[in-house]
Amino acid sequence: MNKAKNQVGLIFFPAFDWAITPDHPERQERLLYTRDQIQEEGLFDHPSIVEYRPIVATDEQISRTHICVPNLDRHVTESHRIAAGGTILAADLVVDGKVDRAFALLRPPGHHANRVIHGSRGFCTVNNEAIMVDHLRHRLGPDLKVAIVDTDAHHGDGTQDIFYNDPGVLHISLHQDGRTLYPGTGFISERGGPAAFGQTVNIPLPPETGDEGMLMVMERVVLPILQEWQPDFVVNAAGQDNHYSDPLTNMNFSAQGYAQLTEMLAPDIVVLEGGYSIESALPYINVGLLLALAGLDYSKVREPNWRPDTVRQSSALTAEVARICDLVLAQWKTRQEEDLERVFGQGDFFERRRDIYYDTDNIYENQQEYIRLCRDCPGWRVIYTASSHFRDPVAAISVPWKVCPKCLEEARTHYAAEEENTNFAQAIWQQPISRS
Amino acid sequence: MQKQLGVTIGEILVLKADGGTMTLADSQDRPIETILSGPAASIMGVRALAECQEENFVIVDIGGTTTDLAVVVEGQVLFERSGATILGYKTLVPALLTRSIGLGGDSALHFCTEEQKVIIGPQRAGLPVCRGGARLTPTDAAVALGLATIGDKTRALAQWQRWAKELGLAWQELAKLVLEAFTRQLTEAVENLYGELENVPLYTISEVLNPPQIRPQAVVGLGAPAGVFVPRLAENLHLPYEIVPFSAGANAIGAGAAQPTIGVTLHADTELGTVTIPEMGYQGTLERPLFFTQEKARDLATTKTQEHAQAQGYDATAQVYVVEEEHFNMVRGFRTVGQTFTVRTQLRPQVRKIGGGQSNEQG
Repeated sequence: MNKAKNQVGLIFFPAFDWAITPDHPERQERLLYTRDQIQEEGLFDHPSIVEYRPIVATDEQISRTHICVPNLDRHVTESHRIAAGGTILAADLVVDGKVDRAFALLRPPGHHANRVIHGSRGFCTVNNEAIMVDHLRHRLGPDLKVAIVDTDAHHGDGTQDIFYNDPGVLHISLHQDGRTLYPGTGFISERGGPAAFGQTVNIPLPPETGDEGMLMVMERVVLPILQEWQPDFVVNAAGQDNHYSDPLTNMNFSAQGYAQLTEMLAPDIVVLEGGYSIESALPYINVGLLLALAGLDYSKVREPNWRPDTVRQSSALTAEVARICDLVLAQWKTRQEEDLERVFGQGDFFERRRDIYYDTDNIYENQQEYIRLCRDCPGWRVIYTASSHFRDPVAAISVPWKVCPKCLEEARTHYAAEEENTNFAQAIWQQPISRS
Repeated sequence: MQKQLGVTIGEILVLKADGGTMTLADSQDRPIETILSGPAASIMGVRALAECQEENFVIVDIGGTTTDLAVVVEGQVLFERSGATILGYKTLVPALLTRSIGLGGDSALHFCTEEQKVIIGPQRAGLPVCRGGARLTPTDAAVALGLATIGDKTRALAQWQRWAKELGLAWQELAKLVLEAFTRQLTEAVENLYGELENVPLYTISEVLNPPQIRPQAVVGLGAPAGVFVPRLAENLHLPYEIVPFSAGANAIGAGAAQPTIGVTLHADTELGTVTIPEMGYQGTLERPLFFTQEKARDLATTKTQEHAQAQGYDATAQVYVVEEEHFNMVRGFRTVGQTFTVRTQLRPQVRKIGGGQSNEQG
């Protein structure tokens, strides 16, 4: 048997008894063909790939990341708890040294779930990666640096929202240009909040970008940024809907491309996101991805219907991708030279007003967020939120990891005031605390 | 036809890894099914001899070289999920789940001076000193401490005293350390096995939320040294225990008491509208493919198993049970176009109950 470089922990949880609706793309059969392919290729039998049973995430673990309106139980079902728990387990396996790398190959996905939850967006309810990152900081301390590289075809807007002002997280998202695909965000100009400016990196790619373009972005942008930022952990939010056969997107990546990307990125933890080509793409992408993670030869993994000429990108498209790479990299390099007062204003607070649509549940949310501009910490924040489902506004006060004493005091005073304020249905307090 | 101990003589049956037997002719068609019959024999011995009424228990077969563990859940001996594994190779041969550890009455002893503790095995030391061997073994510890009467106790005692003196210990202390080490290692092996089984991947939400309860409520021991070590193991696990009668020869009794089994594998495809059973050379069509369900697949497989058993001269009245089943939705172009079903059923491996007076207890 060929020996692998890395021991890989696989948390495979297809949730064969859960679907949004029976004919929805996010349905029971989504990982059925993938399981068969992995099994038939003998990967479950390979000594370097060990399967683990997911755990169930607790209220405490979910609440460290999310603010649920009106409460957690209203939105979070057992399937979400198991997907989040499986992702947490993936991180724990790596931290505990039981495996070198871990792959949470599970559903339902999470990267469209924002900090505030009024319902499901983009098939996501809770953000598996974000809950995992906050779990890691809870375990290992708030100084941990985690990079999330989101390779789903859709912009990882939920993850971006959660870590927008978080200096401990670098969020890089490669995706099909938001002007052509849900959720319609993820432009180069979205660069992070005042305490983490530049650490939100968006790389919108033109429709029909293929392996060549994706690997160019990895080589020219993603790897140099990671090299410079030096994260303690690299997480890959591994959406598989950039595939040429995906029914929901217009990209042209292949299983080989995904495997090469995985080898280049060398992530510690991989978490499945989207990917709805359940017979033509997922089985092959996941076999390639697992082989690449283990450090085994993946060069023979090919989709049966792959034809190089139908998915090859044009030279004009290659030039456009190269131009985007240059832009993003130039922005990254000058991130510390920007005048933040010019970007975020001079007041005591940075204000964001947003209308957020929950497509899966058809809910409209209106949100105002005020982040305290503070020299000593990322600043506490207050979020006022109401939605078409819960019209009475809610005030949520959230303090960051490594909050300074002054901000903590201000936040407490504000929370006490909002608790008394009858304009709000409730006041919610969120404060992540590290165990170490 | 002569009957003795309730076992029919006059026909040669071969024990299989799943605890059932097959005819000699069948074994020539499928010789691979004869592997791992040793551990299966011990388990069937327990099923024939033990009086344990608990739903869940662990079977501990302590031999000279190894100890074999097996698990009973809800009254049924657990099977290997994807067949027996031999030297790391998965065989797909249906087998009772057993784990073998290098720990037995004849295992080698190592004294760790740093931690002042004894480590046993996994190598074999050879015959115990009390039986003329050169190196001390766990059996010698039991003999010296008066827990077992085997061979020449004086010879063992002399060697214990020699070794204890070298280490600067009292010999009784050293022999007790050996018993403790044996019990500790055995307890760890049992814990590891249950830990492993509790980590078997589950693919549905309902299973993850309500994982099968498999923890033992009792320990059932067999093998020559069982009388010494099983009570100590049970104490560590806080469980009641039972040592089966004729403990040293229980596996031979198990082999004799095992009953024939035979099974079929049914494949149905609702898109093609076909049913096949390779073992019977059967190919049929589904009359109403859209209305074919898991239950119907199971019922059909059961009926076919009985037919097959009858045709092959087996006891067709024995209970048929589902060894494994799988159901797969076929998706083409993002539409569900059909379903495939695979059901493997067989006659439940049975034993004749010996001693207790009951017969045909399920195994």
